[in-house]
Amino acid sequence: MSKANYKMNRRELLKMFGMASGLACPMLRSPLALAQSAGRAPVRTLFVLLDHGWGIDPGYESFTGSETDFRIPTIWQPLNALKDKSVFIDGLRLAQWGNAHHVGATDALTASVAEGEASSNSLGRNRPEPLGPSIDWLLGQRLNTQVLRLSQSDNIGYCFNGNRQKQAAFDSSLEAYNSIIRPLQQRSPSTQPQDSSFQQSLLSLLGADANRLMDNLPSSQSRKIESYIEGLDELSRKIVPPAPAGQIDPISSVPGRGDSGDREVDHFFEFMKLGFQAGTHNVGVLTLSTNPRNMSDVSWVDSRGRRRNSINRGSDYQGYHQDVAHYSRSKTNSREMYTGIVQSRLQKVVNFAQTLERMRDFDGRTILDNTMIVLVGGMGNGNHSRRRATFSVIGGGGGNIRTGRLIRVGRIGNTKEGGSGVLAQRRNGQVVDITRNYGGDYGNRTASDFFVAIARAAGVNINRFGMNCYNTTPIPL
Amino acid sequence: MNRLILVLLMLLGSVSCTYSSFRPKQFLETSESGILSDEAVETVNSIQSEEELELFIASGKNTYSNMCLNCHGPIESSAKKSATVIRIKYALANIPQMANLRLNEQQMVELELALSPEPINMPTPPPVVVGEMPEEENEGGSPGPPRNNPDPAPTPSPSPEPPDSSPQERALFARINVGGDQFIDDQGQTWAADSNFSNGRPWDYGEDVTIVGSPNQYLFRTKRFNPANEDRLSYDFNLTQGRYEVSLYFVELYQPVFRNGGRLFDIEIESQQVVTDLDVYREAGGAYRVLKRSFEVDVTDGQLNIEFIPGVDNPIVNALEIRSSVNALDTDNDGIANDMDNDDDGDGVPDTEDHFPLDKDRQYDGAQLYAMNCAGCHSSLDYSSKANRSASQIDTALATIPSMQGLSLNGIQTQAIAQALSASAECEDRPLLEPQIRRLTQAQSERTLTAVFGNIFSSSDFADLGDSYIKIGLNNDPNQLDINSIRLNRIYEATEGLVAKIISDFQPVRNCRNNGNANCVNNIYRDYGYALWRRPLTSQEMSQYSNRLGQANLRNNEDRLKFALSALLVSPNFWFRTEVGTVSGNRRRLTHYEVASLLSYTLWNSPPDNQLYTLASQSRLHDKQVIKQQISRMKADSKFAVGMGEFYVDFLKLENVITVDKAPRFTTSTRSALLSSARRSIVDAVTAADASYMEVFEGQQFYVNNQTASLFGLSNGSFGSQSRLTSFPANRREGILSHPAFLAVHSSASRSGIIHRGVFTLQQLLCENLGEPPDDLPEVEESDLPADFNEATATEREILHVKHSSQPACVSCHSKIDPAGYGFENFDLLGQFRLTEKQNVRIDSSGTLATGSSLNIQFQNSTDYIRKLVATDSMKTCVSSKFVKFALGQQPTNNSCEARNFQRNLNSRNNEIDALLEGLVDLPSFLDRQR
Repeated sequence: MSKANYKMNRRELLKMFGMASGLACPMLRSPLALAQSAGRAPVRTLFVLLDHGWGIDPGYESFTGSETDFRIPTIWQPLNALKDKSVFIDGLRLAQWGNAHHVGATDALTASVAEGEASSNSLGRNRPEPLGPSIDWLLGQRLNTQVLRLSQSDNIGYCFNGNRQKQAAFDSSLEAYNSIIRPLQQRSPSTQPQDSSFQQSLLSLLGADANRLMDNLPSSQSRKIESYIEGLDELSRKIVPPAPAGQIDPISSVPGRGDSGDREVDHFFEFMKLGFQAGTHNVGVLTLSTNPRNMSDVSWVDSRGRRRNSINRGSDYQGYHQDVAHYSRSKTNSREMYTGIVQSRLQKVVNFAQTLERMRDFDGRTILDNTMIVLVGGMGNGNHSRRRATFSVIGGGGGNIRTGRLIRVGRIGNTKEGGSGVLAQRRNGQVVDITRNYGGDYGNRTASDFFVAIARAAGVNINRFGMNCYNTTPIPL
Repeated sequence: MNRLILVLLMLLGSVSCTYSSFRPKQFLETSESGILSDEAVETVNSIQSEEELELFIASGKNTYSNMCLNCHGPIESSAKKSATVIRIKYALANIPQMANLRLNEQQMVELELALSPEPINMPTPPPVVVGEMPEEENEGGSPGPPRNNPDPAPTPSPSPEPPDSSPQERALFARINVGGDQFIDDQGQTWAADSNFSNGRPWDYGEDVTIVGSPNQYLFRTKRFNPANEDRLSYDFNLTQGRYEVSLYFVELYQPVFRNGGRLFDIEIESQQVVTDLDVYREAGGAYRVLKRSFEVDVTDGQLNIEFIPGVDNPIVNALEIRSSVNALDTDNDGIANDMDNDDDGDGVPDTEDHFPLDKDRQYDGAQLYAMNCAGCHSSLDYSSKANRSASQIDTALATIPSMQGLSLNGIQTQAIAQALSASAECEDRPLLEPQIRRLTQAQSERTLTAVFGNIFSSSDFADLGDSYIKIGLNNDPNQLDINSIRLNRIYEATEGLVAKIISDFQPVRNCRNNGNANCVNNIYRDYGYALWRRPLTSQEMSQYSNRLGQANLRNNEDRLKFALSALLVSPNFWFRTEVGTVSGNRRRLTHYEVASLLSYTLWNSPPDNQLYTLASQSRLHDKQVIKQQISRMKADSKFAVGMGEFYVDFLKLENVITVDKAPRFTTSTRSALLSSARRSIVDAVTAADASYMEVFEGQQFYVNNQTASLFGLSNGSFGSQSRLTSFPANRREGILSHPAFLAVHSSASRSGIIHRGVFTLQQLLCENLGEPPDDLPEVEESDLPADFNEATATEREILHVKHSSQPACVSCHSKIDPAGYGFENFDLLGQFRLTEKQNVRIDSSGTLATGSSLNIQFQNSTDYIRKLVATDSMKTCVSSKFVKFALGQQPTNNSCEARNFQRNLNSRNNEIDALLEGLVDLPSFLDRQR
C-alpha cells in the first residue's frame, strides 16, 4: 500500500481541528451513538502487544491437535478459559531482516518496513520508519473512531499515521485518566457541550499560529507542526469530550502516582473497557512491557505456584532481554520466569475479556461478542525469532470471527541452497529473496495477511495491508 | 657490543635495584652500538617493570604472527631477525607485498623487540612498590597469576587481500572470481568470471553475509562447491612449461559446518597432493574470514591441473590466481633466476641479510607514505592541514624544517604524497544544509521562561516534556524533539500554573492586571511575545490575537492576561525556533533574529540577550565579523560554560547517570554528586584559556566529595560534602572518559559492559557505523564450551569471548566492538579502578583497536587506551562533527567541502574551542540553507 493512499492533507487536519473546537459539535457524537442510530453495534478492536513476544516457540512447545480439537501450549494456559471464544493463528511470518526489536517495533502493527530500510531520523538509531500506517490508525480513520493508545513500555511507539508520524501513547495511567477518562465520566449522554469560549478561542488562536508557521515551512519540516495540530485536536476533545452513547461504569479506583506496574496494567484495561462501553474509543492499542524497570513490582506465578514479585537478578544479570528472554528455551530458570511473566500478562487479558463478556451491548450480545482482542507483536518468542509467530484473536468480532479454532499456517523450507525463496520488498519496489541458510522454517502467510483479515472483521474492507509482497491470502478468521 | 652483553649488563645492574628505582635506561645508554633503534631505546627506557617489557615483546610477537608469519615463517627462525624500526618502516614503504600492512610506531618498536635475536631476560621481579594509591592495587584481594586468554576458536588470521598488480616481472595467467561474475576489486584488479572449471556448482551467498575485513565482498561471497556424489571439481589451465605460483582463496560461509572439522578436503596440483584435510574454518580463524593458500608448482606437461578431493562435506573454493613464480624470475637481470641467485635484487647485499630490497619500479602509495610520515603532525589525509601542498613545497619543507629533516623521502615519494594530498583535497560540493524548525529542549524552555520573567518559577511548575534520554546520539536532535498530543496536553496543563505565577509575581503583568485599561494586555502580548518568540510579532499575528480575544468574551484584565499569556506560552512560536530564513536566489538566508537564537541557544543554551536582539533589529547579524565579535563576548559570559558544557554532557550521555539501572548502593545522591562532579570538570576544561575542545578528555584532576570518594578509590572520611579538586596518578585516571559518571552510564546493571562501552566508543566517540545488530542468533550450547572453561573464575572478557564473540555469527562485529570495550576494563560497572575482578581474577585491559578506516591503536591498559584514543584524528574529527550537529541540528556529510574545510581549519589551529566556534560560523550553512 503506498504512502500516498494514506496521506492526510494538513488542511483537512486543520479543518477537522477547527470543527472539533467549535461550539456546536455534531461530529463529536460517538461512533457508538451513530451505530445505535443505524441499529447495529460497532466492532471494537484492541491490539495487545508484549515487547518480547507472546512466547509460542516452535523450538520448545507448539500447539498440537486439529483445527477444532487442539491443545494450547503450557505458556498460553490462561487462554484455556477462553478457548471457545478465541481463534489461534500459528506460524505467521514477520519481517525477516534487521534487529528484532528495532525492525519489529516498527513492523508490528504496520507490516510495512521495507527490506534493508535505513534507520530514520525521527525514530532514532537503528529504527526504520514504516512506509505505511499502523492497523489501529487505519481502523480509526475508516471507522471514524478515536484510538486509545496505552503503553507500559516507555513510549516506544508502535503506531503511525498515514504520514508515518509516530502516534503518542499514554505511558502513565494517571495521565490517561486525567486526559481521557475523567472528562468522559464527567459527561452524561444528555449533557450538551459546556460554554468554554476561553479555551476554544485560545485553541483557535493556537491553530492559526500553527497554520501560519506551517505555511512558511518546507515540506520536510511541516510534519512537526502537523503533530502539534493533532495535539490541538486531542486537546479540543478533552475540553469538549464526545458524549458517551450510554451510561458508563464508575471507575473502580483512580490511578495514583507510583502505582505498581501491575496496577498500571489494571488501570489500562479498565480504561479500555470504559472507552468501549462509552463507544468513544472503539479501537485501542495496549503495549505491555517486560522491561526490567517495570518489572520490580509486576507479579507472576512460578512453576510451583508461588507468587513472585520480580525477576531474579543474580550477579551475572544482564537484563531481561538477555538473561530471561534469550535463554527462555535453554535455561530452566529463564524458561520459568519467561513463562510466568507471559502467563501473568495473559491472565490480565483473560480477566479483561471476561469482564467484557459480562457486559451487555445494546444489540443484546455481550461486548466480548462484538470485540476482537488481538494478541500481536513484533516478534514471536523470547529468542526473538520472527519466522513463525503465533497470534490470537479473542472475542467474536461482531459475529465475524469463527472462534474455537486453531489455524495452522503452512511453511516454507529454510535451506537457501535449495532456493526456496522467502521474499521481501525494498523501498524502490524491488523484490528480493532473503531466505537464509540456517534456522528453522518460515511461515508462508504473513502479518499482512492477518491484518487484512482483522480489518475486514472490524468492518473495513481492504484487500492489502503493508508491503505488497507480504500480501498473499487473508487469514480465514 | 652485542645484545648478549647488553643483557648481561642489565642483569648485573639489576642486582641492587628495587622496583621503584629500576630503570633499564642506564644499561641502554652503554649499548649505543646501533643494535637497537633510537625508538626502541626510548621505549625500553620508559619501561617500568619486567611485566611491561614482556607485554611489549608479547605484543610484538602477536603482531608478527598476524602480519609477518605467512611470508617469513615462525618468529624463532624468521629471516627477519634484527629488524629495526627504521628498516621495518622502509620495508612497509617499499615492498609491494607489505603495502597493505598498517603498523603504527609503537607496533614497530614492539616488533623490533620481539625480533631481537637474543631474548631480553629481565631481572627477577622486584617486590611490589607501594604506589600513591595502594588501596586500589589490592582491592578485593591479591591478584592471581596472569591468565591466558582461553581461545577455543582458532586464532584469526589477517584477511589476505588480492595481491598487488604492480610487480611487472610476475606475469599473471589467471585471476578468477570462482562461482561469480567478473569483478573489479578495490585495487582495480579484474577478476574474470568463473571459467576453466570442470564439475562443481556455483553459489552466491548474496548480501546476507559480510566477509570480515575485506573490501571485496562480492569476490569472496561467491564460490564453487562439489557435492560428494558428483564428479570431482577441478580447474585446468593451458600453460607453458615453467614454475608458477597458484593462490587459492577460501571462505567458510555455510553455517552447518561452522566448527572445526566441519568441512575437510584435499587439494592436488599437478597430481601432487599439496594440502591434506584443509579445514577452512579452523585455519581462517572462523567463519566469514578469508584464507589464502599459495603453492609453487612446476608445470611440465603444458597444462596446470588443480583438483579438489572430498573428505568431510563438500570441497569449496572462492577465488584463484595463477602467476609466474617469483622464484622463477630474474629480478636483477644477472642471468641467474631468483631461486638460484644469492642476491635477488642485485644491491650487493646477500639475500640472507637483505630484508628490504628496493623495487625501483614501485608505484608508491602516497596515502600510505603520508600516513607514515606526515599524519602525526598534520592530521589524517582527508583533513590534512597541508592540503594541496606540491611536491616541491614538500621537498623544501624536508630540507628546511628541522623536525622534518629526519624523514627519509625521495623525490618520487614526495610526488606521491603531493598527489595523495591533491586527491584528498577534492571534496564534494554538496548542497547546503536544510532549513528546519527545532523544538526547544526541556532546559531551553525553562531557561527561556526564567530569562523573560525572572526566577519566579519552581522546577515543578514547568511542563515535563518526557523526552527520553537516548543512549547514543544527541538529545537535542531536531528530528527527535516533537510536540505530540501528550506533550501538548502537558504543556497546556502546566501553562495554567505558569500563567498564574506570572500574573501574581511578575511586576509588569501584575500592574496590568490591576489596571482597568485593556490596552496594557495588548502591549504585554506584543512585548513579551517578542521575548518569548524571540522576534517581533507581525501585524497579522496581533490582529488574529485581537480577534480571538474578542471572541473569548472575557470580563476583566486578569482573564485577558490569562488568555494572552497562555496563547504566547503554548504557541508553536514559543516551542519551535526556526532556521528557515527567507528565500534569496537559490537559497534561504536565515533572518537576523534566527541567527541571534542560533547563537544564543548554541553557546548559552538560553535565549538571546538584549545586545543580540539589538544587532538583529539593526540587521547586522549577517556580518560574520560581527557574529565572531559576539562569540567572543558570549564566551566571556558565565552562561557559556553552561551552554558549551551542555554539549559534552549530551555527547557523553552523562545525564543518564541519574537513571541508569544499578545496584541500590548507587544512591540518588551519589548519582547527583557524580553528575555535578563531571559537569564541573567540563566547565573547567571549556573555560581554560586557549582551551582545545579535546581538553575535557585529558588530565588527572577530578572533583571529589564524600559522596563520590569511594568510587574514585578514596576514603569517604577524607572529604566533606563540598567537592574538592583532587589529583590522581596518571596510571589511574585520564580525563572525562575515566570519570565514574561516564563509566557508570556506559556499563550494564551488574557488569562492566564491554559491549556497551565498545559500541559507544565506536559509534559515538569515533563516529563509526556499526550497522544493525542481528537477531535470531543461535544459542551457545554448554557442550560447545571448552572443557577447561570455568565461568566462575573467568574474566568477563573471557566469558564474553567464549560464549558470544567467538561464535561465527558474532565474530565479524565483535572483533571490532570488543577491543573498544576492553580498553575500559580497568574500571568496573561503577567506574571504580580495578586490577582484578571476582576478587582475585586478574583483568586484561590490553588490546588493539583497529577500525576499517585509518585508526589502529594498541594499548596496554585503560589509561593508555584513553590517551591513545583521544589522540587519534578519528576521535577529534568525530567530536567536532558532533558539535556541529549539536549546534545546527544536522551536519555536512564527511566528504563535503564544508566538512573538509571546517576540519582542516581546526587542525591548523590546534583544535582550539575558539577555532571550533569560528569554524562553525564560517560554514556556509550557518547563515544559508537550501531553498
